[in-house]
Amino acid sequence: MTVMQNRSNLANNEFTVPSHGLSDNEKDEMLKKIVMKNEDIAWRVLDGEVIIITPEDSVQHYINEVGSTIWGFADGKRTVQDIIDLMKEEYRENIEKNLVSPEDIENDVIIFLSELSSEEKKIISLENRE
Amino acid sequence: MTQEDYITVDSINQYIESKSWEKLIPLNATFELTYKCNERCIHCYVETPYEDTELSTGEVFRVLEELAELQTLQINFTGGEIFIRKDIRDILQHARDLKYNVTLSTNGIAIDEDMADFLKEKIKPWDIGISLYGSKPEIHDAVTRVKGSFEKTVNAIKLLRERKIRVKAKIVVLSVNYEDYKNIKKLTDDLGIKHLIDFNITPMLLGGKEPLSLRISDEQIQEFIFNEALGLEVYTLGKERYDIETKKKLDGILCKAGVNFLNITPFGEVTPCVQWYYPVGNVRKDSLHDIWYNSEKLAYIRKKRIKDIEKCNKCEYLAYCNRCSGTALLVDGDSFAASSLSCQYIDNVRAVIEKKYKKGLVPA
Repeated sequence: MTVMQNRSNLANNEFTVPSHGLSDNEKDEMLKKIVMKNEDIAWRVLDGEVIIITPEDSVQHYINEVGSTIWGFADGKRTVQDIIDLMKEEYRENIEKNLVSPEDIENDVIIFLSELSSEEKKIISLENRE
Repeated sequence: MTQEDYITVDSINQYIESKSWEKLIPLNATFELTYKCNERCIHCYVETPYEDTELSTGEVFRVLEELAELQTLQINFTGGEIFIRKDIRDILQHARDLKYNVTLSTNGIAIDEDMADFLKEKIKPWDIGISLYGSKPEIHDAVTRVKGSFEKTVNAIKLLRERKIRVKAKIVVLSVNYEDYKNIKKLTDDLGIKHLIDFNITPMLLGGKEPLSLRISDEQIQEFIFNEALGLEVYTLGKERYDIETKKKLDGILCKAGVNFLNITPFGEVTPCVQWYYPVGNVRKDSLHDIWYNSEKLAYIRKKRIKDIEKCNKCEYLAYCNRCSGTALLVDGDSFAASSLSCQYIDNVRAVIEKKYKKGLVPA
């Protein structure tokens, strides 16, 4: 799964969407988490695309437009479920035209956020609501 | 996501760079927070009317906020000596809060344990560049004209390294420390830090020529290029590549300055680059947004092409040249002419290539 594919997935339905690989319980748990950006990272939006620098390893990361839309929704208050709902709204037209399914969107968001919160990246964290 | 999305720094830099050029985003900025310094380096280019008032904390904050809105990502705080400012912690913290990627340039002598802790815990700079002029006090302190500065600088490097902050030594090679260069390099190896070398001494910002007497000779520069092999392979292009590079240079912009790079002086002047004192506006008078997008001087710079410079247009070494508008102004008095320092460097490279590879810079 790549964000580039993400973009394609959301634009048309010709890709087979890979599964996020979570059990139902794990997925339900994740949907309730709040998406927090790592306080230590440097980031900017360049022409709709997010550039991130992680300080620990000084790696520059680039997130494409779809990933950047998800990034924009992560305001430190919204849960994974909130962001999925907003993404579905964002791509409502594509859903109505059957270019993308709501399941694809959910899958993409879960995979994207899992990747950003992974041990190697630590670009975001998924926190329990207090 | 795969590695493709997490492109290496080089390739992503290229992508971001071209994007920022295309969209006129000042991705990189230097901020000269003060021209005051606790050293008095013999080669320093800073020359300024001190009676002018430097930007206040509030003004610096406002500039940082405006730059963030323009999507500047990389910011280098430099001086003078930045740690002289009493509000330096507030400024660095504000930059961190605004999500900049922060780098610092300093002589390090004011960095103690407490400051090193603060930098590590609160600022997390990408790296800190520290000026180092000798491998021992006699040489370093003779350049800085501050007794004890060598020990303090080396101590700062150690404090930062203990906290795993990336440090690079900025070594300025002068006639007075040329012989010590290898020892300085060894010291940086022993300290576990990288180093950058600079031997391009320029006149002072307002035209003072004093530092020029400290330049190393052409023979020394050649010896230096020869021994240090500063990427010599890039100077031996094949015909096809040479032609492509020459064409690219001719049609290209002068440099990144004013295109995706800008500098703020301690008095709020906006200049295209820290080395190019060519004010295009002042943040005390206009917003940065207004200056960046509406300055006629910047529009002129962005329109200029290398082929517009008569000497460069005819030069057969163009494929290898990184002309600097700042030194063209400082040394030759014209930002939009050839830079004799760049020409001189290429001449030295040519001499080395002829000696080492027994061939010229222009492929047959």
